[in-house]
Amino acid sequence: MSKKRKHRKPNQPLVPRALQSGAPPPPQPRPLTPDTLAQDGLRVFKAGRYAEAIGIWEKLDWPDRRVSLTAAIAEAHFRLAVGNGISADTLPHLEQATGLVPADPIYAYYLGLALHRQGKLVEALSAYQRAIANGLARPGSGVVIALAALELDPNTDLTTVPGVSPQDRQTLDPAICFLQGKPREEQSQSLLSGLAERLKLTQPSPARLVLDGLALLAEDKPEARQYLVGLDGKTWPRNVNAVRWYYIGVAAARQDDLVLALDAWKQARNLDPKLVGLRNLSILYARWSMSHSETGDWAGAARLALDGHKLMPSDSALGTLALNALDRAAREAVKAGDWAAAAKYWADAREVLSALSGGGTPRPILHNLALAYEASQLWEPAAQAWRAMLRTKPRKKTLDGFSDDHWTWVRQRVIECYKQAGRPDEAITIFKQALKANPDDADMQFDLVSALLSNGQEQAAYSELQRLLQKHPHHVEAMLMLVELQTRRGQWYAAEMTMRQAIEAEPDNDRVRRRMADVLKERAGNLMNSRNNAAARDLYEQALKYVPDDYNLVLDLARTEFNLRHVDKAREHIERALELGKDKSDAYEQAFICWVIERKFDEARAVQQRGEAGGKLTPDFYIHTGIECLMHAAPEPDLPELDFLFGVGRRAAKPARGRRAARSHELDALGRQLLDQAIALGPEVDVLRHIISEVGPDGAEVGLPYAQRLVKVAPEDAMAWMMLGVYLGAERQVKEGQEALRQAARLARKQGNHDLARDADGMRRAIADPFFSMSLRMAMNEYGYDFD
Amino acid sequence: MTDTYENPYVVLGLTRTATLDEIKKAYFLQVRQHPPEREPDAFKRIRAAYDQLKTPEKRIEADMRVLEDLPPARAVRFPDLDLTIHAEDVLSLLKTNTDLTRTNFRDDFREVRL
Repeated sequence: MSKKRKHRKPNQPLVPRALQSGAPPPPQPRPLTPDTLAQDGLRVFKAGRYAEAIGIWEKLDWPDRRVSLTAAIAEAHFRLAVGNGISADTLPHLEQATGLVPADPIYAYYLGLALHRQGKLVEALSAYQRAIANGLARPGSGVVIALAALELDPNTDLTTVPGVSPQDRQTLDPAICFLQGKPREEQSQSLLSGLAERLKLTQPSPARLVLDGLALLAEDKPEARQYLVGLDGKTWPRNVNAVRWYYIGVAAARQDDLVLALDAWKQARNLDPKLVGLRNLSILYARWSMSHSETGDWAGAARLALDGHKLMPSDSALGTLALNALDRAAREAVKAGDWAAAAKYWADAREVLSALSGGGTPRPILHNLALAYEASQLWEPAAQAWRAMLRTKPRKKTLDGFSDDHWTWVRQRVIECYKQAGRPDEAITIFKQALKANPDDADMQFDLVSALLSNGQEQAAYSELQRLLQKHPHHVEAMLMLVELQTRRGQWYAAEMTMRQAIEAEPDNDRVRRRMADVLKERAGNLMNSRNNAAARDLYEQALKYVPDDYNLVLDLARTEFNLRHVDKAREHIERALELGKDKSDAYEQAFICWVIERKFDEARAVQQRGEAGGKLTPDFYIHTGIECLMHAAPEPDLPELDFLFGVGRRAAKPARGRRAARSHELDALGRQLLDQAIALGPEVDVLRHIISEVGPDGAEVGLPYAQRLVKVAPEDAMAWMMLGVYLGAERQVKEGQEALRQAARLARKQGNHDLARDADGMRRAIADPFFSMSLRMAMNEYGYDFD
Repeated sequence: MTDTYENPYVVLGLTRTATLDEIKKAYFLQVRQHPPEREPDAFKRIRAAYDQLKTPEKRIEADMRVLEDLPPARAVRFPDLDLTIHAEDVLSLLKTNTDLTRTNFRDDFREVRL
């Protein structure tokens, strides 16, 4: 390294001015000898800069004076330790001091005091013993050592504890009566007063005064309470005054004055929350709360338990009690229609739960709270509660019945509530901000996608999804959402490709496999509609690989085989479907319908017989199959233009059967027979209502006889008359229809159902319209008069 | 949500785990017990409850509109009030005039000579 050349400034003299004027030269620096350094250290030590002194002395290599130097360093550590009282920072310095001068009894004793104050009683006793072994002779130390031994074990025999003199033991004798649980008679006033005297508490010190009060209490003297109340503890040490207040409470409680007891224990808690007896506060609040709940006053129970919890937040039993009382009070408020009160209770319950360790998931409370806020139209708090609930979503799937669909619903509520609050973009803003703070949080990004979709920003959602999947290519929820958007846009192939990635990510996920099958099934359905049955069959077969137990899919496959005139293969599939769904009435129903559509009535009846033999058929089987037969009995429309539209090449795939130009009497008979069987299973009224609702608005020809039968067996049923009127109108029996509708309106009015009466009147006018039949479906959908 | 809260599962006498088939059966049972021509209001309630549960999609909405039960809490027991005199409190008083409550230790500082 090159030396820096010192430059002389232009006006700077060559000889320093001080020398020029003849002034004495500056003092030469002292030589750095061990002695000078030691004195430097002593100077800063005397100035109270103990750490600095230690720093200087520790660097000093001074073998001749090693002992005195070590003692000086130890004393500096001691003063650092206790100069500002004994605290948590004290221990390391006391350990240093005792380490440097192990034979010093004072340092060891102080180490014991510091440990004792921290409640480290075993270590404290060990330090005290070292001090005693080193010849500690300090007034009062015996009592301190005895106190440590008794705190550690109240049954300690003090004669075995070194450092505790007979006089010390005599001094503590009365306290030992308390500690060793001797009968209360022995814990007499005289004993405690004697203790106070022996402790030289001859002046009326606070501790002495309180000990006197405890002695009265020990003897169960009624004046104990008044005595303790009469003491003025305002200027006393906090711990002594806390003990005074606590025993005022004990004295009051012994006299059944629980109101004063509560007040006194609250005062004691404010002065010293660590007092051991303060559990009484929890017990008192719990007892009062439970007495309210026993009478059904959950509001009162909740208020008291909550007050108690606020005073004693770490008491888990009281917290649990408060939680339960608040939840019950909230439910009572809901029953009374007071959702605002319910919201308040659940908000408090949420606070209580957050203070309880191991109190369980906050999800149910947040759920109820959000519902209560919504019912109170407090939309912003509702949105916040739903958001808080979203944050409780477990990373792994759970078996508590809460599915991904449920979480999706919650996400939608966040968005909807912000919309209701007049801040439709708020959800998006919140999720964007949260994502900015945690850009790798895939779930948050997914929430943002949901918010964008909900706000109608489909393209933005689509882009966000793609960004998400670039970062988290295995996020299955995102893939399923992307598939949803792709199918909505008719991008079937893209949807299939996305699903293949999802399958790769989670090959055993049932939901993913089901969705994959659905996508393939939808594509196959489209192909079947365009009569491309061979391609449809391939897709159904692929779909089956993902959900091999799905008998409906196997029946879809059977239908494609029928369309391809492969009756034997279709039969095999139907058998397989029946095997897969052998315990399900629906499987027999669908298989039966497959055969009926192909007019294979013997096979259909065979399916029915198998189901009946196995006792697997429910009444729904007869209703659904009967209606299907009646529906398929109708002549098929002749639509040659469809062939033209689909092209000549596809004609080969047309179903084997020819077009049915007239109503099939065989199907009619089969359908009626099945419905009669359903009615026979009864109850007749229920089944007739069920049939009519299943037949629906465009099935007047099928439903009419059943509506006629229903009004006979249930002549007071206004809705049955309504349906009869509608069917008669559709069959152009206008006059009879109007009469039925008049009867429906009359009954509805009589039964107080004015909405139905109004609708029946409106319908009576509508069926007179010559275009009524054409608009029937629309009208029925609007009114929705179904029975199930 | 209306002011009057009705749990559709309770209306139909079902638990939250009921299958769709069980829901349907319970509906018909309730309708038989409360036919619309005799008890139109009861029928309306039953009908409304069934409407909320009859498809998987509607059921999710209904499930989420139903108040959720808190997990079963462990039974809490509270002892009687403790009205005894505690050893800890006596010890706390005894400590007040000992080295354990002192704050000034300068008496024990020793002179350093080097």
